[in-house]
Amino acid sequence: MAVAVTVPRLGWSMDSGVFGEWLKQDGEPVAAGDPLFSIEGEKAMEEVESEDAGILRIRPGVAAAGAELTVGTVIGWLLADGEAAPDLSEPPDAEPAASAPDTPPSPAPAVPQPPGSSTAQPVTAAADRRRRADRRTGSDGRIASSPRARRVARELGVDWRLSSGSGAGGRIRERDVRALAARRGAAAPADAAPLPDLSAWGPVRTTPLPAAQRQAAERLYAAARTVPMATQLGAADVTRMETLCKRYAARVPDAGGALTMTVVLAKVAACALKAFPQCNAAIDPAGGRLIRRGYRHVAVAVETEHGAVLPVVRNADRKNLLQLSAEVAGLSARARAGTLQPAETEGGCLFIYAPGGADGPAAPGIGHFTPPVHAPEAAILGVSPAAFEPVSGGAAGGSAGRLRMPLSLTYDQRVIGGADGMRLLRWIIDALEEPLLLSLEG
Amino acid sequence: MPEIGYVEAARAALAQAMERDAAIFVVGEGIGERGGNFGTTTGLYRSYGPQRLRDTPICERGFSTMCIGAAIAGARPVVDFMFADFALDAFGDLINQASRMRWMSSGRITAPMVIRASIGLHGSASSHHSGSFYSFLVHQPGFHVALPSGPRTAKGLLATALRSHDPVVFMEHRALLGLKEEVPDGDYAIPFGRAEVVREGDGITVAAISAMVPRCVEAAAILAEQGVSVEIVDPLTAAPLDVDSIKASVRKTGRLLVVEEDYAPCSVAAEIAARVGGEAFDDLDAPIRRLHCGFAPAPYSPVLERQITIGADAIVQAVLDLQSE
Repeated sequence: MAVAVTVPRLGWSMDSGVFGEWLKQDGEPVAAGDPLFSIEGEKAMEEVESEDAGILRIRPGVAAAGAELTVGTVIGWLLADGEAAPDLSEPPDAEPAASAPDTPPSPAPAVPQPPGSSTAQPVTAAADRRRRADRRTGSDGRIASSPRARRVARELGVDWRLSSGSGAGGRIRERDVRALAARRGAAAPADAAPLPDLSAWGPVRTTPLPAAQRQAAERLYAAARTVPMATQLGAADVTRMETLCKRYAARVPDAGGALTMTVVLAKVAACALKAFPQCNAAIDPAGGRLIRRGYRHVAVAVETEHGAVLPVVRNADRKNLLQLSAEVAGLSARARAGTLQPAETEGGCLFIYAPGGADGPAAPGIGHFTPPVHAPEAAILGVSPAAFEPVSGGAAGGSAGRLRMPLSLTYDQRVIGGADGMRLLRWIIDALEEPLLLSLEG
Repeated sequence: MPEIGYVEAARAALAQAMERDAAIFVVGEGIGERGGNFGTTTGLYRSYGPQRLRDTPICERGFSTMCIGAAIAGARPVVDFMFADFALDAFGDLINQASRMRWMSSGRITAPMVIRASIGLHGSASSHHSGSFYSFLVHQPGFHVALPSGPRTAKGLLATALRSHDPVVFMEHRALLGLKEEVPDGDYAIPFGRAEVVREGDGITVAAISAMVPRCVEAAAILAEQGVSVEIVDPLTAAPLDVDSIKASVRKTGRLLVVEEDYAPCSVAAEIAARVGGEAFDDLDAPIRRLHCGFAPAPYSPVLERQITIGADAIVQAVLDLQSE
């Protein structure tokens, strides 16, 4: 049965890639794991390995050097010995470049699935990654890898599951992980000063970090080194919001959460990104590109015994507060239990970090909290507990005072200019003080 | 440093100790005037006479247990069993009394003695003269077990054994007896429980025991020509066992092959593999491999004996296999 060779999705938002070159000739036998072709994805030129074995039949006129190809485009087939190729003279329907075989279709549309194809449909990056891994899984469903390979992967900050195993039975070894790291140009924290032996000065206790925390630490480290940040300080009068939260609090527990200021902030922040789409972007220095996101996922920091982790609430702008309450409660519980999957901390556009919780007890004398941006999100909102501020000459007869919540917005200044940063924070403050704004512009 | 043979080097340690310490005496078959089946006591009878070089009839249980009594009473006997196979008859009191004495007496009584014997597949010595047996004793609390790998280590380890306050099992592979190398003059002792890195490399760690050390050195030279860099670690004593040094080497190389001639089950190599697997898990880039002799009693036929013996070629192959894991 002919197996289609398709353009894979190499990153989360990759829709198409620029074809590099074939690494195998037409008619050449290919083994699973052999480098098959190179393609430039979101980040860099990558070699794509064959997922199956067979004799390569290149589809004429599709994958030429420099051609931009949609994810899922069939660019060839792997055939069994003696098997005839699918009808090559007649490319599938909806193939505009069919009449000119030497002109690559640009942009190539996703093509219908030819007979025997298993992978012609665009796949999500997660599925793509899983499939690559499946190739090497043993009968018990696990990927064979050496403990040392996994340790080195941790040290280099790469996902060992993405390496190709060169050991017995495809086992991933140290050298494979190092090769992957070298190819990816992974930000290996090699220039970090090695940790001295802390037990030299007194007793210590060492515990391994759960995956999500490890990932958070790695991202933070990478961001601190590579992202130029600016911080805008402000404060919101949340007296009314507090009253509203209390008034409607009883309606929320049935949905499985609690109506907290953090939940409100998640909604407000997502809507703010909708109002300021230019702020919802990331810069790709390798590709020299600015990538605008068409979604508004908000990460909410959860303090755990291993430090903060940042689970992501997807499409927070499209969910109501009941839904958000339940989702934030679920993510927080899993984060504290250490069962959060690393994927659940990926993809955030804007982060909210409220140490002790935005609804936490007032901490007199504590001002703004300015956490650093976590790459690759564009901004992070630092939230300090609201404090009661007496208002001199208050109209309500001396008992008047306002709850003021110190806010900080720290952002990647390559993506968000100072004026936009100021406006974004102003909008968040306005929405907290006057929630009607959420309906007006958010 | 003079280059001397194994037998001479080990005898020098014994002679120096006997001269220093009048409590040391040797007991065994043919170790008197004859000077020992393997020359362990050649020339000493002339200096110290039958009082300290006591020939015995063939009664291992009797003379060894007598020596346990002497050790408890303050002497420092060396029991020369000639072949480790012969010591089997004596294991009862060596284990039940000598090894337990310090514990059973709450530390008041010790049995400082050296239990010396030859081991190993060599020269068609057949089923009753080729056994190793030391792992039985490594498995027991109370013994030190020293396994020299050449003339220098024989001298240094025997000197330490003769100063020990506990029973020391000192077993010498007969394939080593013909080796010559530079050996430090005079009083030279090697501490127990400290492994030596015999050859440095970064591709694979080979932990080798006793006569497998020089054989691994031979294999490493062949492997070096093929571009494989081998680090050889010699634990020198199986009890106490210096696993830390092996782990340090594995940290560097990521791979461990243990080469020990003795049978595989419950061997010292099994202990090394278990400890490294448990304590240096994250450093391992491949499964730990072990190389042992064939699991059969030693045959007389030289052809068959070669079949079950670990040669340098087998070590080379095992290293290459492990490199591709």
